[in-house]
Amino acid sequence: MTLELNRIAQQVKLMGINLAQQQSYRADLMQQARELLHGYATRREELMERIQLAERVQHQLRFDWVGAAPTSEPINSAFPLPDFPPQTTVVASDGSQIYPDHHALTLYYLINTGGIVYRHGSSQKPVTHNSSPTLYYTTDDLLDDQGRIISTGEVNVRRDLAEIELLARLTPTDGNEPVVALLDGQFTLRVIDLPFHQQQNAQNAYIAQLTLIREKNALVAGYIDSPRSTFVLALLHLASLEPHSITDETLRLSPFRHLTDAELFRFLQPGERSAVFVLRAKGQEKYNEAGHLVHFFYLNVSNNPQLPVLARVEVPAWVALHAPSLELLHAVIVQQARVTGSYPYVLARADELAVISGEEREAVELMLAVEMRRHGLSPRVSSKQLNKNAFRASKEGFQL
Amino acid sequence: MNDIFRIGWVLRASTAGFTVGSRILQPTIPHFGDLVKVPLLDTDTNVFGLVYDVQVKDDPAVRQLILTGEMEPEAVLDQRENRLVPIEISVIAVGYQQNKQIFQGLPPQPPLSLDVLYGCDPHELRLFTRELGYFQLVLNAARIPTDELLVAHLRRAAAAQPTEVRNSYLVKAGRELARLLGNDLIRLDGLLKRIRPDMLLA
Repeated sequence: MTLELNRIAQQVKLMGINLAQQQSYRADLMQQARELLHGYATRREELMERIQLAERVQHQLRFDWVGAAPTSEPINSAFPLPDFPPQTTVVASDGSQIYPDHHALTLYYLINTGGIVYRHGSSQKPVTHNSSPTLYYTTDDLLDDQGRIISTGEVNVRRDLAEIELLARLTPTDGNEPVVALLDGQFTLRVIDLPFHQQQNAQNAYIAQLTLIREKNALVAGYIDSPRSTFVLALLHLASLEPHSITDETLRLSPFRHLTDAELFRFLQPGERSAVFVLRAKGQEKYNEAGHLVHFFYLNVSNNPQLPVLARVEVPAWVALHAPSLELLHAVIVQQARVTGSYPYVLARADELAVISGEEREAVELMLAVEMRRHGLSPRVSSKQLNKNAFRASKEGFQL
Repeated sequence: MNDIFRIGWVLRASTAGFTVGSRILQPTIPHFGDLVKVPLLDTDTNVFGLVYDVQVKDDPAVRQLILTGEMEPEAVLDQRENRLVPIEISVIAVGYQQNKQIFQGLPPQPPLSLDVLYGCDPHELRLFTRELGYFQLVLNAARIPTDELLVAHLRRAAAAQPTEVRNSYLVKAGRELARLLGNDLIRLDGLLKRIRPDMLLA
């Protein structure tokens, strides 16, 4: 062990004091934020005017205002848990990867996906799906136009595309009962890490799968556990500013920056959801054109009034603005979370089916080494990796 | 080999016994006291054994469901049949078969990892239990519930015999036990009471 714990003990104590001191400060801020939430509950027009003003201010500086816009629902609403539908099919997928590593035996990366189809009320065994893991090893797969190894962000985009393709494929079309398709994490594809010319293609491919799910008459949602987002707080900060004082500087100095939306909505009772909001951020245009403009709400999936578990649920406009669909999705997500206690069962299982463990990664490397030797090659990790392995291994005996 | 009798795959083994990993407890197999066999790969040898322990291993996901989740039948089926919930079956070796001849006693070699464990059908059970030399191995085994195991095993072995010979089969088993436990009359008495034909064949 290289970390000398005795040398951080004092800092840990100070950190504890600091955390305790923040509590009252944060409670005061939360009180202010909740007053704004209730005060502006139905003042949609005023809020929209301020949002447009803020967006104009930010556009002049080539930035985008990021936050929540109200819909027709009062922003302080709490909608009770609807009845669970007697029969519903819930589909989920997830993905995992081994990133390219130039210290490894050779350059490659691997993407694995897993999925599950769970029929509530059927008394049937859920159908699980392990897709064929795909190994990427050609030069075109691994290097960009300038010969650089592709970034982890690019691998993430390919994994996310594989996840949504699997989700669309597993979504049934028999139409006998409602179908909900769940994604782990945000509902849109994060393309910022891609070279610009690839962003459009990736988004188009992703949106095509969302449209396919919609055409199968299924609902789709992204489930974000333990969200750190502050979209509604950004809106409340905007509400606290007089229109004439909305400037780039005042927008950046939010007094609520220490808080999260999840803390704001901790007043939601078990099973309740917040109002639906529209996400205002960069990169929504293509989703909007295809009818998938991102909306979201917060949801307390806990069954315990003392321990709220807040999630953010992202949905496309065609789900958010259709009351029966929204009600069904609300009920089904809570029903799924109640299976485990606090997190949708299908997402936990999809993760389990997709995840690549450390042991599995080592097994892949071993297979690669054998295959390389079979072809007269000499597999060897980099000197850096070799020494890291050696030195780390030799210290195991001294661990506490 | 008939797959309906396949129980699991060998995790670890010695000549005295082996432990098998299984994905699911099937309704009919394995039972405590069942005669089971492992065909050794690339040989004409089967190792026979008796199931003396079945353990459902701990699993954090199952624990989570028990502690906080609501047990939906679909989730229970998923856990039991789709997830690789680890079940370990322990077997004491009691004999082997080579070139169609059955020997009672420890096998010359243990099975290897991932060899397949099968349940024995009634015909194999009758063949193996024609001789009772393996009783001594069971009675002398350490750290396993030997008396319970023998009683459970004899219940199954007697049921596999033709009706007209079940009674005489149990009498023969009782005599073998009396021979082996002549110096431990209390234990012998306990066993004989529990394998009486009217007790086992009721």
